[in-house]
Amino acid sequence: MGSDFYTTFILPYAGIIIKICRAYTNNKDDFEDYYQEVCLQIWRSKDNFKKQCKWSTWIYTLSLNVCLTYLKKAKNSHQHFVSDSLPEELIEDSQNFGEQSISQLYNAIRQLSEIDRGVILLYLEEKSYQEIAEIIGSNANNIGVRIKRIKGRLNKILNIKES
Amino acid sequence: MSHSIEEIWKEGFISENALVAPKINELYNQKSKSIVNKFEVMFKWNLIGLVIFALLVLIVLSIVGVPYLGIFISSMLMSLVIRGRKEQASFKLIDKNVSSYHYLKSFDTWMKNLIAGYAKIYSIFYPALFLSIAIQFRFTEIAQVGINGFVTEFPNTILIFSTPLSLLVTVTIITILLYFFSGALYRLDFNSLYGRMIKKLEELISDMEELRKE
Repeated sequence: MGSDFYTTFILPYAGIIIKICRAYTNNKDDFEDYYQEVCLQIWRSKDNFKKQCKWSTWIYTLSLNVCLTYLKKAKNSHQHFVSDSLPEELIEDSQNFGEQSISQLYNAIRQLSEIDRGVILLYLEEKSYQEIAEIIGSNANNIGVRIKRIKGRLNKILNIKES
Repeated sequence: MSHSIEEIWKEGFISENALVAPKINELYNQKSKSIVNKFEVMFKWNLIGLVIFALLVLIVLSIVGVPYLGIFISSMLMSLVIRGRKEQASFKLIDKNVSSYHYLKSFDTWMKNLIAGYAKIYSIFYPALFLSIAIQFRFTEIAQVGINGFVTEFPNTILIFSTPLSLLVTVTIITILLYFFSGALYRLDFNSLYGRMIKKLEELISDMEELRKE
């Protein structure tokens, strides 16, 4: 890959890829494999980018599609994300707001179906229902209903009282 | 926990090291682990292998004195190559630049077409291969000696085209069995290799269709 392409067109959007890949992987090795695969597919598919949508939206779409169809190899590694395997007493502790909580949220997201993970990630990234529907391939009304259901499930897992 | 998931998400990425991209080396030279790309590579090498094998069959069978059988088997192998070329072209129709649902559906349709197409080809390929070898073998001296011995042993044997009826029936039954089971065997073989992926794909599409219906 031309390093210019990576630096100019991928690296500024690495946050999107990281957020998505992390929801589909349980350990650092897998995460790096997924990240690499997404970058590789962005490079390979760049000529198919139609300027009907924003580059960032295209990266969301492609990252999701790659994560959904990635052939995960069997690994014996127990190298979990350090912050994703916190002791029970710390998980209960909500004072330490930040990476610890985001790890708990990721752990909860990983308990969802693969499609639901994609939907909630896009929602949390403040995509409109219409945008999520376009990326996933559904319609905005259905997305709204599904998000409500997913949030309910996540709140239950994380023991958050719904307002 | 008193914060909403939206707040957790926003706050979680404030820390600078929360979104550090992993280092990647020589990414362009890396092999893809996407199932679509794996198929693409597999097909490329399958086709190259088939062309080489077809040439070898033609050369070897010509040397051993059965050039027509060589031409026939090579032609059949080349028909697999032609089919493979079409499948290669259809890879390009799988566009990652569409919604997840359409991407998964087009991948699923492509895979189903691929399995159905090859199952159909193999249900003809294997019986034809067996029949051509059996017919060629019938005209060898060894086969003639065997048949003569058989006729001597069982003088009441009915002969059709100077071949015992029982032998013709056996060859016919094997050909029919190959016709019916080659396709099924191919599907079984395909599932043993890609069953996990097929199941995953079915689950994803089913979930996606449920989401579209809600």
